[in-house]
Amino acid sequence: MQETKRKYVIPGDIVAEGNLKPLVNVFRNGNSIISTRIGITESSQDGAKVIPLSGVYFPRANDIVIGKILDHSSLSWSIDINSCFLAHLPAQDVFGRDFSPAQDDMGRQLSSGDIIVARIAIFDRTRDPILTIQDNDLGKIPTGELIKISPTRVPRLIGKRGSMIQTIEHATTTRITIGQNGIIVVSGKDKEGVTLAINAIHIVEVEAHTSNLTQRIKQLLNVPESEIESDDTQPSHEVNDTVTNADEFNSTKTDKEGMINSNGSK
Amino acid sequence: MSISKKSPIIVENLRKKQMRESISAGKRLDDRGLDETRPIEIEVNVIKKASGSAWVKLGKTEVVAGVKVETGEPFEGLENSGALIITAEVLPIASPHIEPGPPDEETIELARVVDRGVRESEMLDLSKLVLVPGKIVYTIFVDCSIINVDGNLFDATSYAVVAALSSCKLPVFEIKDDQVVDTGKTQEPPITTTPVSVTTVKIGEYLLLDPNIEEEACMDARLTITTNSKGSIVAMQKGLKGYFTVDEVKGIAGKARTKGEDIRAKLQELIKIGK
Repeated sequence: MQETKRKYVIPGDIVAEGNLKPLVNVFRNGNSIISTRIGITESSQDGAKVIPLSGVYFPRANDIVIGKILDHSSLSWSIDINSCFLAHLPAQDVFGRDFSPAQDDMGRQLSSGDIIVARIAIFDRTRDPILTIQDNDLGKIPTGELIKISPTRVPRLIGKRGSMIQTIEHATTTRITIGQNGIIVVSGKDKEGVTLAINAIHIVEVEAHTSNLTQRIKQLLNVPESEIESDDTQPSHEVNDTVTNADEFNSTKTDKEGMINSNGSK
Repeated sequence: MSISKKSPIIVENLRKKQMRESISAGKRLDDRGLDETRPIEIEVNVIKKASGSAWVKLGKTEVVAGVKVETGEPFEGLENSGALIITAEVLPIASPHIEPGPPDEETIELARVVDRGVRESEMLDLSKLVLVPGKIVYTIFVDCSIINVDGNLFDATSYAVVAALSSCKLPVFEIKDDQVVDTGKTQEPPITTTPVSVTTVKIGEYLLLDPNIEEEACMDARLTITTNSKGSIVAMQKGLKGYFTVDEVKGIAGKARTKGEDIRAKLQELIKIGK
């Protein structure tokens, strides 16, 4: 991809001018492409977009999220997915088609305060997202340490094809489950490893936009010199990592079974 | 009992487990010790049109208090003392769990507990705020707006009120021809002591000072103790269904004194700098 100059923008700033395709977090106004978020611009022959530096999680269909059960009605659970939308998990998703509100006790399956990893099955902006746990690796997470980071930092934490998260998991012998909504569960037998992994995640969150991050994380985790690749010596690559599209995310997720099966369901 | 407008804060079960394990090891999730309070920041005279004001940050909890002085009739039975009215409001911007509307019972309790600490410590010598005994007295309003909620509103609001009152300048009113006249001059408020509120909560068998919002969502019981400059207990408020043993109450009272002394010194220093 041919790169052009990057700049920091705030909502209303011009990202690029000309006949470029408006991609994400931008809109077209006449000949200009305008930003809708605070972030870094990225223009190429494919189009212009803004990579946000901050913001809340905005749901997308097929995203893997980690949610907190708040309550349940007779037909569904309501789930906090760290977003402006409240998600719902239909009871049929857990009990099957022959679910009966009179006979099945929803509270015994999932109760308030439980953590689940789920996929956003349906979301169309007009209604609250509907979740599903009907898939391998999805469901309740019984153990682990819970941490929250900004959802805009999630792509950087995963890294290119999962490089960053694999590095952390491998070096600390932990299993890390990442939700696209910025909720992360770290589990492992070794407490020190878990603490180290949490520290590494926090560093990635704070320093997501800086260069040589993977290298510094590897040094922090005492990964041998030979394994340190400078895959992100240029800041531009850092930004590239954060523009992984939805398909790439999901392939990253499914490729890396260890990331999601910390719930023991696998 | 009225229904709280606040939506409940649900702490994840995993987080609760983490918290219990951490507390039993003597450390809290935010790296504080069990009887360690969060850093206090105070800025006084932040509202130019008020007689006195303070902006207090206790960790991420933020409270703004403003003092307004008027004259009016004294309260019944307190004809020879000025009137002091302390109110509190949790603004909807302060937390996603707060809805607009009339104050819920927790906010009313907050205002009452803060008011009690200041009133019972006799921080202001109200007998000096009388213009015509039984008829016209100074009426001092201290209105508190909570602008960010991260637990322990009792202490943060109390510090804000104390800072606003300590740093305020009262207008000098006079009676001329049976009329109240504002002379345009100001006077120092009749401060006698600095009350300090210290809140302790119980989670399981452990006692924690200055809880944050997550700890408040998990607490079994809460005890707020206000002490005056001499270290005497002037007000107490116990909340929630959980219990404290006699020894625990004694321990908490001791902490309220010792910690209160440190906080008082800090409050006085910060108010002095701000003035």
